[in-house]
Amino acid sequence: MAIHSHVLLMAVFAGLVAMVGGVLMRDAPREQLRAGATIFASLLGAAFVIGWLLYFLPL
Amino acid sequence: MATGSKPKPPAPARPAKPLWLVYLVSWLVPGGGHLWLGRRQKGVAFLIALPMMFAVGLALEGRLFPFELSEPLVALAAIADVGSGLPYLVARMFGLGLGLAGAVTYEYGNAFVITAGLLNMLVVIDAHDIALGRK
Repeated sequence: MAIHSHVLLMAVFAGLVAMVGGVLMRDAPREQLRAGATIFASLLGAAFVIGWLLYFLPL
Repeated sequence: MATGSKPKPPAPARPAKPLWLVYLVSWLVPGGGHLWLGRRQKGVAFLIALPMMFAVGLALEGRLFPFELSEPLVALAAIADVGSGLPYLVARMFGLGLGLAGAVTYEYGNAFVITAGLLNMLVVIDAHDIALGRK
């Protein structure tokens, strides 16, 4: 596959996990959307925070 | 004469569909169990997302791990891979998922394939709850 952008792949991964997780956790479509958005934002947010923390670690 | 016997509690409702068949359908076709149990919206979402996740993983040079008990982590990854059901069996049949360890996206591919299998296992458990009337 020609996609080599790690951020894009991470977003695709988070999107698919959020879709399944949101639908799995809730029954009403609106709640599913909210849960999915929360999962998506949490995954991306955690990745960026951990990424920046690692940036400051001496290697 | 007073018997003093307590009234029998109502017998638990038997699921309308055989549970083993719900598990099988749910595992083989991601979302198939939900579709069969009448949860169309959930079933369609799983049917789109999980095979897509599995396919993207293979396209990213992810590997379908062998059952090597000498390497516990590899064996666990193999069990997770099997969780994808029919997509896994088809990929095995066509010799896909050999994995290219030198590829930039190799680890990403593994993450996609393994997660797709694990999520489908959760979907099977959800179908179990629906079949028992808990949801």
